[in-house]
Amino acid sequence: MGDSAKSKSSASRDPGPDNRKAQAARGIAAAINTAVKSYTLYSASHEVTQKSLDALKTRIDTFTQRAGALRLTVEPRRLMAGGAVVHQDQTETDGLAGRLHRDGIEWLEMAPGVELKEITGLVEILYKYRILASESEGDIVTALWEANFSHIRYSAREIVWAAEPVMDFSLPRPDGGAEAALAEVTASAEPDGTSSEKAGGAAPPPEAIPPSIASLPLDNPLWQLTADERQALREMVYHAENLDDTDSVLDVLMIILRQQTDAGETAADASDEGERDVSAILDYLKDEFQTTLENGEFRIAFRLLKSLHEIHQAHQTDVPHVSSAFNDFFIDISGPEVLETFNAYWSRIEGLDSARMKAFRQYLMMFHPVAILSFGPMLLKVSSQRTQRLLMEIIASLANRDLKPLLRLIETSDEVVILKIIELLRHLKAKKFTQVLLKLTRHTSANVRKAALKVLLTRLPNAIQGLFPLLDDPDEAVRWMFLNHLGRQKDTLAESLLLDYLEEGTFTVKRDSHLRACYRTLGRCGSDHSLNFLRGILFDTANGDRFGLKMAVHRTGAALGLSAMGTDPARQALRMAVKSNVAGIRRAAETALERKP
Amino acid sequence: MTSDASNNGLRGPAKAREAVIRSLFGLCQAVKIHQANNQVVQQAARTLTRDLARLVQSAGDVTIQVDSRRIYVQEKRLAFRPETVSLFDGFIDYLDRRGIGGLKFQPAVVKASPGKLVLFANILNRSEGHDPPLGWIADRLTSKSVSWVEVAAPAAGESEPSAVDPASRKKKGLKSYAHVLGSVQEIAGKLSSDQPAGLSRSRRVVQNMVDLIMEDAPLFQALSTIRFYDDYTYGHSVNVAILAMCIGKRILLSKRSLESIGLCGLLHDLGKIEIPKSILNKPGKLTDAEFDVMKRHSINSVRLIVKIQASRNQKADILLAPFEHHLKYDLSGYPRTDRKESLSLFGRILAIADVYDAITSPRIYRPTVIPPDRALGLMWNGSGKDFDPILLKVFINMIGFYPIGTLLVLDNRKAGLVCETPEGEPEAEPTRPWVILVERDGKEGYKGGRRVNLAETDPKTGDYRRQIVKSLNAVDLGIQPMDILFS
Repeated sequence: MGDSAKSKSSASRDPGPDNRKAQAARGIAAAINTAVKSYTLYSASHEVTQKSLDALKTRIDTFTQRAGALRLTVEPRRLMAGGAVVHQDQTETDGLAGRLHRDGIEWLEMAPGVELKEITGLVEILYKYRILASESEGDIVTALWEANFSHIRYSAREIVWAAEPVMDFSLPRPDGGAEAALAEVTASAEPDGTSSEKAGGAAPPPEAIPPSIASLPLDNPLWQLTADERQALREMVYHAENLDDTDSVLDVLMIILRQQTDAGETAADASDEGERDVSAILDYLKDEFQTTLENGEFRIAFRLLKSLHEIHQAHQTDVPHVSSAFNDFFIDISGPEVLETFNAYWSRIEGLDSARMKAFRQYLMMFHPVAILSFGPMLLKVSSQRTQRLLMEIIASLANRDLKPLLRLIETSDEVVILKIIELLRHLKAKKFTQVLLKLTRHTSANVRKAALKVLLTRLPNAIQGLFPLLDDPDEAVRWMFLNHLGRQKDTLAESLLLDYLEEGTFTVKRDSHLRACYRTLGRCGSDHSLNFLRGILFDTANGDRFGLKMAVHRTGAALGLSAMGTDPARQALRMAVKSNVAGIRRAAETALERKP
Repeated sequence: MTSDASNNGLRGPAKAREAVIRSLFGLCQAVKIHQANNQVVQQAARTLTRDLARLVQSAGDVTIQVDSRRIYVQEKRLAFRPETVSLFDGFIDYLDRRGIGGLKFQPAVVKASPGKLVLFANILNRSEGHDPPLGWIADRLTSKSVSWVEVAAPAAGESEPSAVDPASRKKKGLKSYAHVLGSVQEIAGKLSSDQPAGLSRSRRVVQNMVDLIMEDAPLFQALSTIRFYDDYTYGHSVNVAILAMCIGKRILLSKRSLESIGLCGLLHDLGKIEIPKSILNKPGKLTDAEFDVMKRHSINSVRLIVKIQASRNQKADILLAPFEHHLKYDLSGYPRTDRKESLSLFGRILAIADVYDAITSPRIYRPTVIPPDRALGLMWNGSGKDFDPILLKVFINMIGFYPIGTLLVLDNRKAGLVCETPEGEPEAEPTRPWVILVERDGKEGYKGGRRVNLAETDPKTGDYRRQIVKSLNAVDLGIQPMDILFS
């Protein structure tokens, strides 16, 4: 009694073997779902994804070791195993069972010994085909077929054919009916000289009808492949299945593209269809180009680029729709999505010999100028001077063709990239690049303004009028650089500008040091005309402020200017000032004399 | 037991191939009965060594495969003769029980001691019941340092076709054919009306066809005899796909490649949707201008394939062969290009399948068609110029000199439809196939009668009982060969 009760109690706690199997199957279905979700959230190599796959494998192994193969039977919204529901989709349209059912999977079975790579393959298939476009290249069934897993089996029904009528394959009967026709051909039963035994291989064929293959002599080598032929056949198959035929595919597409573009050239009115054809081929080639680059197959990629470039060049003006399609293509392949591929290969590129580097440079120059947006940031990623120089040359060349991408790069890039660009612009003398530098003198980064100014002052030492606003630059270093330039020699324009600046008080930098520096620079670049101005300020006895700064500052500045001027009249004015009864004038002159410029 | 005793009438390589099966199976049986050191066993081992050596000498590796209850040695099918039926059936069953689809002996086998061969036979015998037997065999062979032989699993989906009744096989085949035809029509329809077209449906049907060819190769090949008067282009595309896949299977392409070549066949003439019907169906010779238009279709096909919604990789697999299918082996033909590269394997296969089906098919404007054996004769003239000579040999040996579906008029005033072709071997009498006699069904149609072996001889005179008077294309009489072959 006691034992019986114990046994009963134990049985009520024990779910029983079938229940345990169902429970384990539920766990597997849930783990499949989790793994597929991991793919949607993380990369395939991410730790979370890998853990979910490992967990799934562990569950399947545990199940199959105890209970053999697990077969999940697919119903429209649920999965069954051993008659029990082991998974129920939460929504009508999206769920594991729904997707399998959508593609016609009847059951999916995992056999003992299933490998992790098979589980990974299965989950990747379920992830890839979780959403199916109406016109796709495949589905879960085609993918499982192709994967050909050893331990994952499936059965699929022909979902796409359910409503199709069976075709009628019957042929029309000959005139006069079958009976007559059969009677006619058998009744005559006259040899036509072509059967092997009658013809013996020697009879000439009737006109216009070739002899039967059976009329060839039986010692003909046709009957048997030689050892060499068998070997050649094996090699053919090996080559077809293992060697890359990308070159040939590209050749063919180029032939078609040339034909299409030539047809467009001669056609009176270029058709929409022709345009779509060209676009379709170019779309394909874009994928091809990107893939070959990703694989580091530069030879193929650049051969493709060169051919397309030639076709584009040949038809740039005569076939507008072709030109437009090509333009779009070159813009597409010059985007970051494609070109960032180069980042993986810079070290390899750095090692190219000079001939190859030259060729590489030529190919890069075939990209659309929008490539500047990708190549610019790469300047920071390449380590060698050689590749830096290469990239700069490419950017310069592309910017020569179209400046806009360079301007956009400047607008959107960090200071460090722009400084590299300024380094590049230093070598580009065209007016449009000078304009870019001028624009950069108004950049928010002081380092950029300074770098741009430095280049401009070297390039256009006399074009100071446009740069004069830099006198009010918020950055002292910029102001100093510009003032130094103004004061490097006697210069009437600089003198005039500075005089206006100081006379009219247009300066916005209200700092003593800045004002003193301006006066001193005026002294360096100025003439007698400035002498009078400086003397006037120095001996001005008024108190209070002038243009927001104390008069004492102006006086000191004027004295410094006279000192910097270094002429006899200037020195005489300073000597007079030293003897002045006005303490402020005297102090200013003494300061200037102590600080010889 | 010797291997020569029962080889009456066989000569040369075929004899050597049959002998290997006999001696291998003989050794396995002897080992079951006797101890390893028994004279009979030792003699059987030496016989096997000798028979293997003959093949090794001429071809290197010796391969034995079983597919659809047929035995292939060195990729050559062994002919079932009355005196070998029992041996071959026994051997096939023996391998089948052990889950073995094939064996490959390396040349080093000829240096193996009789003891090692006996050991190998013992391992094979004992593998039955082990799960999986192949793994068990491999482990044993490795542990015993037997490295001159590999044991392979059966081809996927392999089964016994003859176990299914002809009507079911025909139904299955026709359904598959209709699906494939439907898929190519669907793609063409969508592309011609500028709608997006995907490959999913075509891939599924072609994958099913690959499974079918693995499962029932004779049925699959017979499907290529289906002919249409109208709707030629699509039926032709399906037939080319079927024939190309048959050649592919024959040369041991992978399943994945069979799928690709099937798709190539299916889509190779897609470009014809852009050719005016007046040119496609024009009776008589095309003018130069019309031919120029016609010649565009292979390029058109590629343009349209590029437009199909599929990945670059998928499309790359099926672009080249449709482009090349009218280019000849010597690179003449069309489209004319300055390419100097030889044609791709798939392109060369497609060219053979395309020409064969085209010249053996009726057109709306040409109801009488060249018989298949003459079509092969015509193609043989172009070997090495129009066609790859090796692949053409493979094709002719595969399809037979009187291909299945050829209508043969016999000297006894009867007509027979070729239903089974002997292998392309002199010993197998390739010019003497099996036929099904065609009879009137009394309803203005035809029905299949008795199966007759045209190699049958009169025991008294030694002469053949029946002579072939002439060959015809079955469609000339309105016969759809499938109706007779699987009735």
